Amino acid sequence: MRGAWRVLLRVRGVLPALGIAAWEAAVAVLGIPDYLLPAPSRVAQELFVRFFLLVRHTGVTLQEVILGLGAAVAGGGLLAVSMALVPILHRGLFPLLAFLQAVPKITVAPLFVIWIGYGLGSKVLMVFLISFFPVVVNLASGLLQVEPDVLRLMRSYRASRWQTFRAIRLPNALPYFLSGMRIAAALSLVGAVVGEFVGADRGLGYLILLSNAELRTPLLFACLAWLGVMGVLLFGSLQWIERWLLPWARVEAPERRTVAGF
Amino acid sequence: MAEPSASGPGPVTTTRVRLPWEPVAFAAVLLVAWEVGARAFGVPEFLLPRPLSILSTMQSQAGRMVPHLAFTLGEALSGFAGGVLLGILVAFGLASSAFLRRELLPLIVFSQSMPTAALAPLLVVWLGLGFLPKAVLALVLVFFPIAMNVTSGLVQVNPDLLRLVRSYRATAWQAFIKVRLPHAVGYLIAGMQIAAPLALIGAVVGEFVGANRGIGFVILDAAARLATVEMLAGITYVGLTGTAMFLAVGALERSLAPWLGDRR
Repeated sequence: MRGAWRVLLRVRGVLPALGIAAWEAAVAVLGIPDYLLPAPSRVAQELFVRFFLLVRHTGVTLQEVILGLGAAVAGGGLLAVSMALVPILHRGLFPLLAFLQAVPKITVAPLFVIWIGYGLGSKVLMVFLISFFPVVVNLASGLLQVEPDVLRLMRSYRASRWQTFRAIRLPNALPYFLSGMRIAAALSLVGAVVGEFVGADRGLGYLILLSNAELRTPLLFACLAWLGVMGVLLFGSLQWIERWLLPWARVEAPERRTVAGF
Repeated sequence: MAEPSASGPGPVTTTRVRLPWEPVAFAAVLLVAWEVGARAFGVPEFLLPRPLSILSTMQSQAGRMVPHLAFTLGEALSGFAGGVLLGILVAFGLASSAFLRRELLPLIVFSQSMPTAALAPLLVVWLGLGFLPKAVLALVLVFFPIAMNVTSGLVQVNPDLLRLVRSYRATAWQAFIKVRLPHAVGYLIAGMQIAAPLALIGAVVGEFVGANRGIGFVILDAAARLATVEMLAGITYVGLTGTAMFLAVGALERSLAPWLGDRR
């Protein structure tokens, strides 16, 4: 018996699996009603039965996230580049932006509903606002925190400001930009969902609130599962972009693996 | 919700706050432009209130809003304290067992890509409309960056240092106290700096979903009445509180770990 236990513990993922089994068993044994805590099997059933409903609302949220993130990258990129090229902008704005990062921007969500209504726009704006700051702050840091020696070297070659920007600053900023994007991706989902909490008639946040009001907790769990899938896909695609843009960053990868697996 | 690792060339999640004159001047110019622009173009107050009217509303509504704000701050701070404690405990467990790390760290990493704030309605079902669900949501949001950062701090110690103390015949416990723990302090504080605004976000989002007290409730209630000035007054109160929490963690860092002062 002990031996079998040992072998079981060597299987990767055994603890989460046991956790799910315990959850299923607890719901069955204690007779917990669905609306309080649905069993995993019940959630799986809901995921299957309500598949198209979930896909439709996921599509709405995904659209908000992608539009908002795209706008944040465009706007944030523009601002970061101008901060890198114009020193006074950097000195004046960068501390302000870093400061604003600590302000909970999510509170503005109801204002956006007043401004542009219940539709897509207010959520896109929320996603934009919330993911704008990590993009700008990280990108600008990457553009500006360059080895001074390298800059001196470029100057000794009579490189123009633009040449220095292209050859030195931009490549230096890429890893910073991508870490900023990782933060922004996670925040963008929060922005979209909370934006939908505050006022919407579609999207996963709306569906969560609706299933909550109707005490259809299995559907709520199914929404959370889809949100998780979306988050993982966003992160996964960012990682893929990173590997494609920064093949040399593999040097950094083992370190990250040590965080996850040691 | 923010970058888990506090090491490497990665993100600048915390920046030392000094106030040179340029950002103050920039903020002043922006505010004046807003005030003057709104007056000049006759923008209606319910669409975009002017800074001065927000300020005067903050003043006149202080008697009503500050108690709500204090309630929200109570939710955020108790969630923060619980999340930090739980995060540190879990990090100790993770740092001491390779098995737990293998099994649980992927879940914690996964949680970074998951919008945890979406749990708010579920917590309302479980815990009602009062203080508790907001504090728990703040706790959940705070827990993950703390657990992640402290685990990294405890585990990613310079191996040479560990070899050094071993050569002095230090026990595992001594190595933990003398090497790992001090190394983790910087990671803990970086995590707390990420987590402090998150605690406030947790409390406010919890109030958005269902509450009859707290500044989130005030903001949403004002929005429903199209009282935009009141709304922005409430938002400004939350912003000031978030900033204060962030600065408080910075002050804590200077007193707890003064050796981190020269960090970027």
